[in-house]
Amino acid sequence: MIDPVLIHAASAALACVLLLGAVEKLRDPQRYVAAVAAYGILPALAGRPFAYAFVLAETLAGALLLAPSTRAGAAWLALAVLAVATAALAVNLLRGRRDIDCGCGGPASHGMGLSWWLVARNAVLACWALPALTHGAARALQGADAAAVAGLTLSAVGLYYTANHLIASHFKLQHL
Amino acid sequence: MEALVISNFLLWGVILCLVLAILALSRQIGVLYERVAPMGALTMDKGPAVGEPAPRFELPDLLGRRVAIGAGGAQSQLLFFLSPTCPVCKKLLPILKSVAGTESRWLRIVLASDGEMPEHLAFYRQAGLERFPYVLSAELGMKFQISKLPYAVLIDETGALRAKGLVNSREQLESLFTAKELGVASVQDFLAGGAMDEMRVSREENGNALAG
Repeated sequence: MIDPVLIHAASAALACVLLLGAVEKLRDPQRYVAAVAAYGILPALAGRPFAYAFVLAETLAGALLLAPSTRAGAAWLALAVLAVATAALAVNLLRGRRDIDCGCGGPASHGMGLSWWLVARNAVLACWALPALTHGAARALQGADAAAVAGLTLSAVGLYYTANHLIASHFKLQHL
Repeated sequence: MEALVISNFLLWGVILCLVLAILALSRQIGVLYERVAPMGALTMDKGPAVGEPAPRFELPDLLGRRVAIGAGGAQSQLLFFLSPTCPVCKKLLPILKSVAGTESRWLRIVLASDGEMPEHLAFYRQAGLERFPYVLSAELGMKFQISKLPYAVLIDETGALRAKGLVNSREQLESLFTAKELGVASVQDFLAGGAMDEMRVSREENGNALAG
C-alpha cells in the first residue's frame, strides 16, 4: 500500500518523459534511425523497423500510464522500454564506444555521447514506474492533493531535463 | 487547515520556479562550454620552432618602403598576420595600436598578409594603420606556415624566434611577450612544466563538481 499522491505523480512524470522523448525522436526521424544503426547491435535491415517499434512502445507506455485502469500494464511496458535502451547503452559502453550519438532526443542531446551517467539516469526513471505496480492506494485522493501531484510531476520532469543538460555538459567538459 | 493548504500551494509554486531556474542555469553551462576560448596564444606545432633563427626576408611594404624581417637589430619585431576579411583581426587592431604605444621601447610591429594590393591598401588607410609597415607576401606566410588568422610571431633582437601563436585577445597577445620574458615557448609549454599539476587538479575538481 502506497500513498496515491506518489502513484499519480510518479506515473504522470514517467508518462511525460516517455511522450516527450517519443516526440523528440519523431521530430528528426532520420537522425534517430541513424543513431539506432550507430549502436551497432542490430543487423542493418532490422534497424529501421526496430526504431519505429521502439517509439511506438514508448508512446503507448506513456499514454497508457495516464489512465488508472491501464496503469499497471503500461508500467511494465515502460520498464521493458527502459531496459532495452539501457541494455543497448551498457553494451556499447562496455565495448568502449562512447563517441556515438546517444539518440536520446531532447535539447541537450546534440553531440552528446554515451556515459554511465545515462545508465544511472535510466535506473532512476525505472524507479518511477514502481509505484504504479503496487496494489491499490493507501487512501483516497482529496482536492488538496492536486498541488502535490502537479508539483511533484513538474519538478520531476524539470529535474530530468536538468540531469540531461548536466550529463551533456559533463561530456563536453571531458572533450574540451 | 486552510492556511496549511494555501502555504502548500505557494511552496509548490516556489519549488517549480526554482526547478526552472536550475534548468536554465544548466542549459547555460552547456552553451558556455561550447564557447570557451583557450586562455593563451595557441601554438600550432608547425613552421620554424621557437628558439631557432627566424627566416629572413626583405620585402617592400604597401607604401614602397623596404622592411627587413628576421634580421634582428635594436628592437624586437612582432609579425602580425591578418586579413581585411577576418573579423577577429579587426577587433585586435585597436589593441595592436595600444600595444605599439606601450611597448614602443623594445618592440616594432609589422603587419603581414597576402592578396591583392588595392584591397589591402584601402583597408590600410581605412583602419588608420599608417604607423605600421604592412607587407604583402604569400611566401612569408608559407615560410612561417600560417594556417589560421590572426597569428602573431615574436622575433627578438638577435633574429631568433621567441614566441608565436594564434591570438584572439589582448591577453593572448601579451602572453607572447610574457613567453619571451620567461624564456618559454608558449603557454602550453609553461603549463607542461610545474604549473601543469596545479591546473590539472583544478580542472578535475571542476569536472567532479559538474558530475555531482
